[in-house]
Amino acid sequence: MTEQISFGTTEFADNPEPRCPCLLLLDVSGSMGGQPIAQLNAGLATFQNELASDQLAMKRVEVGIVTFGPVRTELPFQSASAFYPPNLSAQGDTPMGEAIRQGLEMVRQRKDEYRTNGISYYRPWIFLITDGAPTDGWHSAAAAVREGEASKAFAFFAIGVKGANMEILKQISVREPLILDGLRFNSLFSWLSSSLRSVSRSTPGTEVPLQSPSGWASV
Amino acid sequence: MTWKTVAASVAGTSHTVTNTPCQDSCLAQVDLTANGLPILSIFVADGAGSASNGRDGAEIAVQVSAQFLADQIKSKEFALNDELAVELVSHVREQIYAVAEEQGLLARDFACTYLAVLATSFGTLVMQIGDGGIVIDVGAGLEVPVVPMSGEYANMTHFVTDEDAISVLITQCYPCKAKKVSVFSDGIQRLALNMADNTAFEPFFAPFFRVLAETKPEQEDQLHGALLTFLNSSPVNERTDDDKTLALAVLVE
Repeated sequence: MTEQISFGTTEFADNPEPRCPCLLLLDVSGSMGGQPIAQLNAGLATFQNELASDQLAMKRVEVGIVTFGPVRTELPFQSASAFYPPNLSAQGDTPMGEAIRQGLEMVRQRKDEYRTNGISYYRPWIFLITDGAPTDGWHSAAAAVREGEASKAFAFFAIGVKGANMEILKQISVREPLILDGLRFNSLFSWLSSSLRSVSRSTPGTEVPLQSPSGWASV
Repeated sequence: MTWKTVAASVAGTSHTVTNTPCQDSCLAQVDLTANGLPILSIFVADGAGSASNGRDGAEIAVQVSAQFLADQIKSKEFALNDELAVELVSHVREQIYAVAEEQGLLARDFACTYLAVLATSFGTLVMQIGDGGIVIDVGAGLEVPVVPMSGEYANMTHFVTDEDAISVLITQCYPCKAKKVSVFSDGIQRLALNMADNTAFEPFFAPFFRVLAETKPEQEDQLHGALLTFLNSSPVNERTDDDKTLALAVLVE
């Protein structure tokens, strides 16, 4: 009887997980008051719940939130495991241009932090959700979005809630903006967490196609 | 002198769930050159998840490399150098392009990474396109001769089928024999390398090289099974859900 051999390595390099950043640019202007903001808050809670059900997504997905009623960094980028959805309230006007500029800067800084710390990362996603039209200058923000898309610095998606000026959203977002069906924020965030889960487990050479937004978007 | 080798590829748990086959391919063996010298060859290719025939690409890359080398070593002029690396990669590309054309597909449908180590008692040649990694000891301890290649994003890398594959190819030649060699796909990379400074994580490799070196001849047919057991073990699957390839060789005087 020959002696059994085994490769009993029990020690593994402890490398940081690759990160999958997702920035939400959320309109909390006065017009979102009432049901829309309540549904948006409920959607964020769904988002947190569904990410929490996925071990790998919890380690890899990072969420950041910028709101605009006045522009405010509601949540700097943090791991999904530490993400606790804020309770947003509606107020003020719609400084979308400034919110986009601030959001893009947050993404740029986050990438720098990843690089400094030797952490690999996926292409950041930025989701703009609004029910109105910008009340500030938005042309430079639109140009920055186009430039970032062209250089693949991030992927930018715009979602219009009822009342949104889709014509302006089309000029801001290179990708066709989507219209939220009613107030189906829950379905939207459910879709988003599922899409992030796919990306967070994708391997080199895999361009992850977005799942169809059917269920929450109307064309 | 010669080398003891073992190599295996297994499907990652994410592939098992979606029922997609393992897209890695590997080979580790020792042949004799026309001059009667042992030559170690290790080839590893990882088919791209996004490529419809990535698995075929990886298999072709490994098989035609082995065949190419078998032909080359019949010549007494055979030498391990950059020129050989470029010829080898060019040959792999030609073969993949030919198969793609035959099947009415594009070469990029067969996209795969490509890593190889060739070694004789006189020298060692390593080559790499894309991610995954190579760890060798040519006398100065374990080193990582090629910085693992990825694009800006974690899910981007380079493939042997890319137009610019030859310019992306990185080779290293050492005028000394390799005492220890390991080649692995990206599924193992984060377990085996310190990614921040691109060094080998020694405790990961130590038991492999020790066990392989101490293996008695009557135990050699157990090696492959033992490696499969390791690659399918829970500690590994808790850390990666991707396909996993690990190839190892140790010099025995």
